[in-house]
Amino acid sequence: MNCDKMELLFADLLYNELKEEEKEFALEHISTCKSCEVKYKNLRETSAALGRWKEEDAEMNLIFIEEKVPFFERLFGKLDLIGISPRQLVFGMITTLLLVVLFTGILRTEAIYRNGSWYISFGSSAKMENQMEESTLIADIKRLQQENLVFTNRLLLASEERIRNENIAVVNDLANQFALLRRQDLTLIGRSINEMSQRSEGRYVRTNQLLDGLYRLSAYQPGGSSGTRSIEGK
Amino acid sequence: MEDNQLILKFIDGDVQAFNVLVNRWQNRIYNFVFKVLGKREDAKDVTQKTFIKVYKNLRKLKDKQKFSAWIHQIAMNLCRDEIRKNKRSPTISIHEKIRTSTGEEMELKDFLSDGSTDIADELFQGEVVEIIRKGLKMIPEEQRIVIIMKEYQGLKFREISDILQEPLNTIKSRMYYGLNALRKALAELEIDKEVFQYEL
Repeated sequence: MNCDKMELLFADLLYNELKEEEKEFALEHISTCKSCEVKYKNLRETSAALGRWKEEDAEMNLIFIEEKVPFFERLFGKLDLIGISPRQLVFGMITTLLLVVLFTGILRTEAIYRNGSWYISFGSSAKMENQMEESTLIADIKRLQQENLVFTNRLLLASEERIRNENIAVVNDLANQFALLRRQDLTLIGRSINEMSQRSEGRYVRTNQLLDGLYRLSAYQPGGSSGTRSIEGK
Repeated sequence: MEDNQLILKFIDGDVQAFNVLVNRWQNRIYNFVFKVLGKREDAKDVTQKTFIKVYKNLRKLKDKQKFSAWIHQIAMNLCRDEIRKNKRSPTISIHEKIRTSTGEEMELKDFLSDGSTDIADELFQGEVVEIIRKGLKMIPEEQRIVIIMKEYQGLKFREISDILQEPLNTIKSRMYYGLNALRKALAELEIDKEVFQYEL
């Protein structure tokens, strides 16, 4: 061991912070090197002299009283206990936010092949275009639905009109047929009544004749008078 | 109860646990700050500021086992702020005036090299402290802080390296050269062996 290396070992040797082997080597060197022996002796003397400045009483009595610890300070204290510093917390939050923005951007990015070319739209513009397209489609659908409704109403009205006219024609036709049949029936009934009337009249005549015959027979009294009765005709 | 258990209790809302921690550390931090700044009133102010800062930021301390290094780092930064604020020179001249135990005011060099008396016999503890304080102030601040942390705070070189955020060998080197510089400063003041009784 040379004297230059000893300069670094002196301090350790003086305050007993050398390993046992190093200490032995250092002491052995000092015992054989007059220069280092003097240096070491001087260091020990100076250190011992410093030791005469004894520790004194501070003559102060600091007392801390409880104060309300702000929420974030308490939170950071608790996080610190599990090894998370406020800086790490903020860094983590920012990183998470950036990742969310990045992934959202990627998810919102669209590539469309149209008319032989590729169109790429990024981020919120892609969604906006989709929304605009969607809203246009919805408006078109509503307009077509409205037109369809109007057209259907017209069809219904036309259909009702045609059916009503047809029904009226049928009813008229039926009424005509009914009137015709009624006339025929009335004619037939009239004929029947006439026939029946004629027959009744014939029968009446015959009945009167019979009755006259009967009266006459019943009024015949030999030697007595007899009255004559006749039946009133209609 | 260990420091880290007290810290966890404090984080959980127990202020009394913090007061126990303060009580345990305030003398140590005060003495550290006093040795760096050299003035008791400044040391008290900075000690108070240190614990207020600890109170506000203890929840942010990741490795609770490194509380000692952490609180020293806070105290040291506040000391540096104080030094900057007061534009105080990190070193002093041997012509700086001091007040002796008899109330007499004289230059440090004259006081320390006064051959008319046996200084070693007559120096009171306060005067010894004054001499060491002056001697420490005569060496560069970076070396002084390492010496105070090691000699008075009993921190390991590795801890000092963490606090100052300097390589381990740089710290050891500052310790070595700092002690030599201090010896030279004291030699310049001609108080070598007459002042200090070496216990070798």
